[in-house]
Amino acid sequence: MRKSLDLLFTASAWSSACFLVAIVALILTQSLGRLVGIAIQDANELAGFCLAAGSFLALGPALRAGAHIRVSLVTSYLGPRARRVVETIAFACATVLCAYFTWWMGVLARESWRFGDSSVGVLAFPLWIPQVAMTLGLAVLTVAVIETLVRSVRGGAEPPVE
Amino acid sequence: MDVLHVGLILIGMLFALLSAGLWVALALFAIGLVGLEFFSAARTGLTVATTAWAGIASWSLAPLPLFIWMGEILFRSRLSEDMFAGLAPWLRKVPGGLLHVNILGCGIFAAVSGSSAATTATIGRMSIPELRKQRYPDRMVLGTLAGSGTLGFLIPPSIILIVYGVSAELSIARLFIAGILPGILLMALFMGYVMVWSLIHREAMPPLPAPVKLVKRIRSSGRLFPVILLIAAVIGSIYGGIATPTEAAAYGVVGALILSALSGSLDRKTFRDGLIGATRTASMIIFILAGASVLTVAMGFTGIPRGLAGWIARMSLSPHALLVALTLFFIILGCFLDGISIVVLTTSVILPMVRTAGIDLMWFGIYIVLVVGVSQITPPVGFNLFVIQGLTGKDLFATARAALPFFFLLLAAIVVITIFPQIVLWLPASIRGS
Repeated sequence: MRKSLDLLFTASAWSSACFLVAIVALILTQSLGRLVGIAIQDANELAGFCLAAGSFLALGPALRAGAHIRVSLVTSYLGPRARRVVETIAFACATVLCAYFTWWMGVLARESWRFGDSSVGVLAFPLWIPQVAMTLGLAVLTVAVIETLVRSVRGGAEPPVE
Repeated sequence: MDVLHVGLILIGMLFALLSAGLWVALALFAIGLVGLEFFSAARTGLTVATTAWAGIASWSLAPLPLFIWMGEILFRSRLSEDMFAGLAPWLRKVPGGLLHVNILGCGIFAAVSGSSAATTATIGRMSIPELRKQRYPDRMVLGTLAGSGTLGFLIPPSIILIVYGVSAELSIARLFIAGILPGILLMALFMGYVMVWSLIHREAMPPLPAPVKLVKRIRSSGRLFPVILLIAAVIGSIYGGIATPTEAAAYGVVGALILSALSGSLDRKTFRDGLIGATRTASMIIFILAGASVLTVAMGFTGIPRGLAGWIARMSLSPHALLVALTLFFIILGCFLDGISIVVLTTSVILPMVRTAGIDLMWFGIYIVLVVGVSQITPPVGFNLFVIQGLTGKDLFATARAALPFFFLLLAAIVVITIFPQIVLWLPASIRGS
């Protein structure tokens, strides 16, 4: 179980990294192309899609690495038992919110696919592709939150930090 | 239920969720959900997804991950080690001596990293042991570091200014340029204070170190010049209108990779760590922005921002009185929220109010960044104070006391840009092609 989770988060992190590199490549190609007089179509739009896909795919790995911000000032004043109860409730809320967000992002992707929504540029890039990537990213985040919740219920205090 | 009650209930919920330790992005998102569910007739779930999508799949956000990546690459090069060796020999005779390394080092590193906590941690790790070894007064060592760490918010490319610019729909290029003079003003205030302090407290200062020959000085700073050049090129190309912030950031990444390759610190591990680290930080910030965009739309339905704006208009509060009230509010908020969360909350809720009061939104961006800086070193709880506490093991109140003069200097900078708004507005107005 632990191993397959590790694999999931690593894969998610690396696909996010690929999108980040792709943004740099797109911008550079467009910028250099302009210098020599070749117009690269829709690079801006594509970079925006890469950004959306890439940043959401890193959500889960970022949570695991403790990169997401949360306020621990108040809970740090609680006793260990009270803190565990409060944090477990917070993590349970987070699980519900993430699952909800994942579900509706999936619905949005499905609707974009059904109605053939595409970007306004010449490429007419189908919107469902980056939206599916965002949904996947949110799903990975949900898994990461559930992992944190389970650990909190079992009694381990802090989420793992790589 | 009137707007006031709704607002109070939502604020109460937000603080309850935040205090319970829910991740900030999800807390914003949760409040947005509640607002939409009760005040909008549309299908809440789909509105949420569409709003997040429209807010995130945006070309204007692209500089954010790129600048973060550039910072991560340089952070893993030998930059921070070179910083001390490169700056120290030049500051021998300046009153205050090596204390200025903290200020200048933070200024340079801030330009690279765009994050206040990272700036404080990186420079502090190098400078605290060295300055202590040379017997500089501990109070000044910690104070200069805590204060100068806040430069990370102001000196371009500033991540927090990108966040503000995107949420307030302002030009990032102009905001960056607007931050330059206030950043220099702040550095001048800090350095001036250190000089005056060290002239008054001569007995507390260590003796002058041995002089270093000019040739040797230049050689030891040699590795610093390319980095300064890279920063100057990035800012200069934006100012000159040659490149958009996104293009400047992309070239910045390439430049940072080349520099770190030339200095021999680029290998597979540092490349991998930098890249993955950048995706994490960017993802964290962008998720907060996604939550904030949902919150903003929901707030629009509740009518709270409009209500606040109307209230301000009826009170006919002067802009200065409003700013004093907001400053106090932000400093309190900064006691337990980080800068980016404060900025997105502000733009979701109070921007219409600020506009109604007749305050220039670009000026307000610089103002809020300064205030957030203040809040990061406010005793007893400011983010930079925690970072320094982590580095030194001193208790938080001692660190906060050391930072107190710099707290007041930051407030002074806010007063100065309020009296002379041209400090913020003049440079962006002079951008070519505007």
